[in-house]
Amino acid sequence: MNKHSQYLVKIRDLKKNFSGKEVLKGVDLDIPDKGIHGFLGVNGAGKSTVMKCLLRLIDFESKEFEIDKDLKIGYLSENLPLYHDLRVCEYLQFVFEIYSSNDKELDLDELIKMTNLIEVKDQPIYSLSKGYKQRVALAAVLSYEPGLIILDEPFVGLDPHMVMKTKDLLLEISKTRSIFVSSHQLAEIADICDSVSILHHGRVIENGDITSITSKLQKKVIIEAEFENATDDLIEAICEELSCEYRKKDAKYIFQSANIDEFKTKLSHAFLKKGLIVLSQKEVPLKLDQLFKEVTL
Amino acid sequence: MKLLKILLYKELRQVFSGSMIYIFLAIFSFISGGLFFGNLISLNEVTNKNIIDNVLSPTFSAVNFLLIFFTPVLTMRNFVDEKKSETLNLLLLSNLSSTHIFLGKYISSLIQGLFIISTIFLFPIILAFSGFSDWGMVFSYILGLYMMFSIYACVGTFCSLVSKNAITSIVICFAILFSFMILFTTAAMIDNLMISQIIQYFSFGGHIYYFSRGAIASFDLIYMFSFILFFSYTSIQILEVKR
Repeated sequence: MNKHSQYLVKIRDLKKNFSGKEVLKGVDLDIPDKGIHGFLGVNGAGKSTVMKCLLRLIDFESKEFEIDKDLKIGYLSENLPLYHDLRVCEYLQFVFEIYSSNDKELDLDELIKMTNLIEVKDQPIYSLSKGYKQRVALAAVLSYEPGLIILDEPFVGLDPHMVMKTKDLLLEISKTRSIFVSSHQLAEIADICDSVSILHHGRVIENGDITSITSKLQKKVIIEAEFENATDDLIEAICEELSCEYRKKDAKYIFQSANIDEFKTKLSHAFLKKGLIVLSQKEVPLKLDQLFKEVTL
Repeated sequence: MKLLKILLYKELRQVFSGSMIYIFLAIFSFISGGLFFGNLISLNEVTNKNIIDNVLSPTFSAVNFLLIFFTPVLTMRNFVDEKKSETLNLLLLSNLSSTHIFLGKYISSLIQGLFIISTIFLFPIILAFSGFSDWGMVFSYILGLYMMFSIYACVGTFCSLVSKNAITSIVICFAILFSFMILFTTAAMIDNLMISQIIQYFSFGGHIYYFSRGAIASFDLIYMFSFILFFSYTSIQILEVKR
């Protein structure tokens, strides 16, 4: 792949059969050269198969499969590949030595500091919590400086504190390299990803940055407003006039309509016409989990 | 070579920092020591020939049989654990070649075997205090046992690679080793001399005999190395397919 290309990986029409069953039916996928790219899909959608294809762990067919041959890929499966009876520093040194292709020495202290493993560096891996094990596995991947890191469900089993720490670490790493994350935890994906791909029934049905996918797929507009002088009768009258729905949440009214283009303007006019004093009014963006539900159900 | 050393060091570090190998050593020493003691107390007259025929030969022969049971258990974790913890992919995706991965595991098993089998050197050393001095026979017999262990370990490592769990690995390995062991008895029951000799050549039993007499025969070595090469090559090819 061209070194100046915006994409590190470019795949077109990726197909894979398992015992006659077509698991991947023509996947198109672009992974940017920096940042975090989320990979979403329901169970059985083919996410793990795509990841195995990226790692060339299985055979596949494709019209285009562009990955720089010098690109180092780091992979972290959901079941962390750890040698539990080794100490943290021994494990990191081992992984570095079998992956490193040059005579460069591993700066173990720097790596341990970056991944916040100082207090456990001499402990055997079996004695660590799930969160620390996750960090050790991630540190091992980082030790040989891959250009692309593939993570399968990195947040599973972590407590909220560790999830936050892992997210911060991934955001830090993504400044210099590309991370490809597969996860079911959509809130975490929405927080850290610059772009996402949604895999459904063996095909990528959406690929791009979250905002553009959301606006493209948004089938309804949601507006949240707070008034000084609203009554339910007035609001009901407005909704009848504009053919929209509303619900009340504390002191706020949430309006919902399928008329994406004109609803916002029409609603503002209606508020004025009815003499409502608006304290606040904003459009509520569709969340990634809502979006995911809409496109995969 | 450097990568092989790294993997081998990791394997040995894991094995010798765990308790499994020492439990093995204790059980092996207890059983082989018991056999040696039993043979020794039934000895009437202490002569070199008597010691060889009535103490060391039966003890070493029983140790060979014991290794058929021990080796599948010793080697079962070689690849099964790697698959279970998904570290096999970690190795396959690294700069290690399939040959490195197989040899790292196999050589580690050979070193563990050396560690365990070397304890039977104690028996002739004890006998040396009573004037036993046929060291040529002792060295060749123990070398023969170690060569047999090398075959068992190679089969065990192969079985660990093709099995999904440790029990399956033990069962397959034991079935293969035991089949080759009883071929010797099967050969004796066949009337046709040529077929009987061919079957006998394939059995394990016939290939320890010359070692037990203090001689190293080239056809025994060819048999042993062929066996090891076959299972090593097959295992490496399986790893290549998994890559």
